[in-house]
Amino acid sequence: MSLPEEWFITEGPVNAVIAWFVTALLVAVAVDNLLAVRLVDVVLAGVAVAVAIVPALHTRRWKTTIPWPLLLFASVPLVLGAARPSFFDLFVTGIGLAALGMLAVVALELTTSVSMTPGFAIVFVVLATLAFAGVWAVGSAAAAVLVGTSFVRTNAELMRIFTAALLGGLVGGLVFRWYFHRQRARTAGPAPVDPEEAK
Amino acid sequence: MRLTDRLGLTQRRQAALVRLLQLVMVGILSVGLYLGNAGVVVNAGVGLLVTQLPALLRRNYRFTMSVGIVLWITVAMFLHALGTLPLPQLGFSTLYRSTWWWDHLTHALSSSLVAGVAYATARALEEHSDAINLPDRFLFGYLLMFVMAFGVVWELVEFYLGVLSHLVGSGAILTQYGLSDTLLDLVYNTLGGLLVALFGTAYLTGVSDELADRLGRSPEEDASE
Repeated sequence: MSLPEEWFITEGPVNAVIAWFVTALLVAVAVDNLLAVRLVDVVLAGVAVAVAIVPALHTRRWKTTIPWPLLLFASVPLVLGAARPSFFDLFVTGIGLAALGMLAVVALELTTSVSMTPGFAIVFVVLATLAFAGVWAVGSAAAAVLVGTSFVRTNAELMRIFTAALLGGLVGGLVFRWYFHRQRARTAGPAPVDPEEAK
Repeated sequence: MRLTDRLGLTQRRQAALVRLLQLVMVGILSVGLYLGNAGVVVNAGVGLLVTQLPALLRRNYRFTMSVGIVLWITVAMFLHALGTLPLPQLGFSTLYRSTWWWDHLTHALSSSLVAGVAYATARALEEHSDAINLPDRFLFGYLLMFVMAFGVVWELVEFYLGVLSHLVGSGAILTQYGLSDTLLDLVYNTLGGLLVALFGTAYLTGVSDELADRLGRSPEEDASE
């Protein structure tokens, strides 16, 4: 069974209004970061905006959106990344990255021929969180040398960040595992089941 | 034309080369034991075990890899083990410490193995399951992502092994040389992954086909063997 997009998409008008409000904020954040040339945040905000609008574009109905709490949580890396982060902040950022990664998978499934099983998607987002930490580190280090932005000074500090990313990614993956489990139990219940899916 | 043909490496010569490199690694392991150097022993030992994996898979799961891939694995493990050995020519320093590009070479080579595993498993899962579809462009990005993620985990393993060996007061098994070195490791990992993503995938279809074949088999068939 491919990862069902319905698990991440709702139709309610109240949800839609809040989700679009969050999306507007994200656009503002993206533009603000673009003007300040904070590339990492531009990418994060850009991806968040993209995953937020894809469901509506795909179905051509403005009321089809991602559940707003999930969208908000996927924006967490943007908020926490800005301040000088504590380990806990970094850890939550890792979970947020995993959430953003999962929404990116959903957007890819909707717009391209990419499809994956829920299990594969979970592994994918854990890897994506770690890879993001790695790319961020290399990119930030390069920026520190080239344009003099700030970066961690010791290897131990970087390892602390990587550890937080690993833990955050894993916890994010586990939460999704639990959520998928629940969704499966719900769809397997009294709700009408597509005969194709039931096979 | 395959690279191995161009180099005049017949299958037989490749197999012989694998044996030779394994033998040298046994030698490195012995020297490590003689010197009482934990780093050399662990790295050469684990490396040797990894080079035994293809044979183990063939024996226990009838999973055969081409000898070229076995050679690729063996060379990566050999160069890593060799790098940890104190050499008299270098004033009993190691290649890792004395040669600036050794670390980069082994990281690129090892990460090319990781990318190879990532590619073979992803392709095999795709063939095995109708629910998984990974277009080439996505797979390209996936490989680079996988290699980067694995590199981050590897750096963490190096770091925490260092912390652990410091706590128990043993010699370092894997060494982190500092921040810039960690970052360069990640860059060279990516380079290795990129090479595989660009040129290596054709060599790996045999492995992924075989893997998909194994996954595709129903449990009854396995039980009847």
